[in-house]
Amino acid sequence: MSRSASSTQTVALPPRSEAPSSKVQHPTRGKEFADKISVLCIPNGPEHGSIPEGARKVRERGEMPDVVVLTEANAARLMADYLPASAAAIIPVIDTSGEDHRESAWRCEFADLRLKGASAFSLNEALCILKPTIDRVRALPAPVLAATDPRITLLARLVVRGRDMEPKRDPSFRETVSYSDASAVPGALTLAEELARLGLLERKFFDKLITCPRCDSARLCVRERCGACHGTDLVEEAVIHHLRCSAQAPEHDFRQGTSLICPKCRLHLEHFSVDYDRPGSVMLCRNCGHISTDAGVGFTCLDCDKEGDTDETGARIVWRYRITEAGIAHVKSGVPLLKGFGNPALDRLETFVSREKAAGRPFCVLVCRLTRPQNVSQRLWEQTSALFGELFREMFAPQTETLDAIVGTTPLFLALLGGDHKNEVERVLSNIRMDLERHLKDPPGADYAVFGPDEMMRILGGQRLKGAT
Amino acid sequence: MIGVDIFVRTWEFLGSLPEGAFIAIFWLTILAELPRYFVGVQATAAAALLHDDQPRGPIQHVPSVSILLVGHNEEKSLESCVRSLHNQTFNQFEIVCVDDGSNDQTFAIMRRLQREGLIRTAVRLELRGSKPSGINLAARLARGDILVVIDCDCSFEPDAIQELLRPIVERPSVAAVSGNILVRNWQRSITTSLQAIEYLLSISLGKTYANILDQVWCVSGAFGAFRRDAWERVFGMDTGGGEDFDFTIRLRLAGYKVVFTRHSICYTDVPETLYALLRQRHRWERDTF
Repeated sequence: MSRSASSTQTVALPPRSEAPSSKVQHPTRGKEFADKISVLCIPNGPEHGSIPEGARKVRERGEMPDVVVLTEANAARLMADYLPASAAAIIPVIDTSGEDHRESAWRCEFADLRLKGASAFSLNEALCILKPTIDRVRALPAPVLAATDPRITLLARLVVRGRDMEPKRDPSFRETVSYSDASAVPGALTLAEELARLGLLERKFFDKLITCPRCDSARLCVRERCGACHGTDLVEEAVIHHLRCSAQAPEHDFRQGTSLICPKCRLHLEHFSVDYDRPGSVMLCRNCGHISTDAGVGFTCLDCDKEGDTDETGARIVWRYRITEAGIAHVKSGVPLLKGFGNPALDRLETFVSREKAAGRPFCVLVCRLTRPQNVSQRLWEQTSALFGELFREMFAPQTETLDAIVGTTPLFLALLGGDHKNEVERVLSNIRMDLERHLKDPPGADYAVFGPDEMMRILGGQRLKGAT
Repeated sequence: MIGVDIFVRTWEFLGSLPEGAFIAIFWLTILAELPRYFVGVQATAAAALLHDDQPRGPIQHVPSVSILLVGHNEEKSLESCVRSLHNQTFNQFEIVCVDDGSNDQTFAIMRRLQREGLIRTAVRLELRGSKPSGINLAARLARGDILVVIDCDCSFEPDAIQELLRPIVERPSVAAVSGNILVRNWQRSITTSLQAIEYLLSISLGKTYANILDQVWCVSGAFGAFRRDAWERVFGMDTGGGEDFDFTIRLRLAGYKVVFTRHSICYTDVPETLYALLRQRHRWERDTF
């Protein structure tokens, strides 16, 4: 499910339509001002905010704004009084307080835009910049803005802003990175991991951190230190070789003021490469006098004061999270996410099925099950299965979502196909089979099946029942 | 037949000589070679049997010991040498390694061994100096009161270091001890077998004999131990080849006692071909003179 970065900026959603199953009373926009951008000023006093032409203030409590404007410092804390938590996280925010809270800026990137002044002109500029975002907010299904599931809120927040959930260097955290979205959606990282397991977000490598083995903090002071006393007062010094008498020692043994005098034969060393040479250098510890070519590298944890060699440290990968096509489709559908099976493959399959079912779209799932032939070693079998999986993904991705699963010891490969293609897939199944197996020297036994919506619902229902019992 | 004829005539000539003339012709052989190869064997055997007074077992009150390893392109032998040292019955020592301008993996191996804690200090020199200068640097970096110089391609009997240190530890007058070097690859070729016999005669036997007469004149640079104070008093090794011979002479001239211990056994590889042997011996003779 690859998507270019630019495409994330222009996620085109269809006009909002109420989900068929939605029975909840959602906040509404003012019908008579549908063309104007509705602005909610927080705090919402008459003296606050200069509203430009083409925009209007939200009049009624409960009306859903297009944009939130924070007019005072720390007004973000008041958002919960005005909006449901999900809407507060999804709707774009402009900070016009003019406060440059550097200290808090490390922690809270709540606002999408910061303005130094709250003039009508600057606000108008800001609204122009945020117009695509506002359009995407307006295109969201109503249940999304009122969702109580923070996973949906996080997905919608990313869709509306058309960006990844990006980590940012942040020394105020033990992890040394933070996610700005966590200030709007608490526990965003945990939620993102769950969404990644469901295939709605995709993990991309950002960085690898070394961490303290005791407290897991990434705030480490790393530097060279003496291998003998672990002191850090190290200095690099040349080794001098007196060619005539073979005396060889660190430079300070030879140094007397500005002269170099051999400690062995007391001769003055005057000409480089005639009298003496500098064949290398050493690290001298000024604490204990230990000399070595390479100093060790050690760390001190800034949080728990543990000291040690860098060999002892742990490592943690930091990911950025990119929303997948499936994630965008899920937000568009407005369907709530179900509680998972605990099996990532089944969870993703159910997410797909429930989304397509709720949207009333036909779909089918192609399932391929491999069978291990007799007299095939475990190693060869694993290699064959892995290669088959690669071929399967190449055949269907990126247009189609694919899944790998293992049931018992049997590998399963699933292609989640949107649209009413069941008959068509069944017709070309022999071609699919041939394309997949012709590259394999020893093709494994493979069973293929195509399931329509009702069959998939029955299968998943059976799985849930099995899980319940 | 010609050979037999010459032999018979020579024998007749020698037999007809008066006794004084016989001695005048062979005085050098009688004075130098016979004691070495005949009297030496007898004396050494007798000494070894009658007063082999060296006590065996652990040595007590050992001063700090540093082992100096200087090598150039020793990637094949360095690690086994270091591990062999750590399997010694006496292993309370530090190892100081100097990579003398190697262009192979010698220093990488040193660093790995240092990380494992088997080597205390590892220093890399970008330019190759010479073995004496490398040993001088290693001695400067070492902290021990006794310096043990070892070639990287050596391996040892388990008690080799203990027995090497014993004379220095137990006899304060001893400043240097030469170890016993035997041939490891003696079965590789006839050349190595002959060298093994030669090492037995010249080092094991010859130096044992010299030791009885207090005439040890060379502590081999491949395997020897030195007191640091004596080392520093004669300012370490000098430039050029034959540095071990030169260094031992200077120690003796300074009044120090130098001994050989035949119980401290180290093994080394010798040249396997005649050509390699000739080159080695040419180098040795050139360095000595």
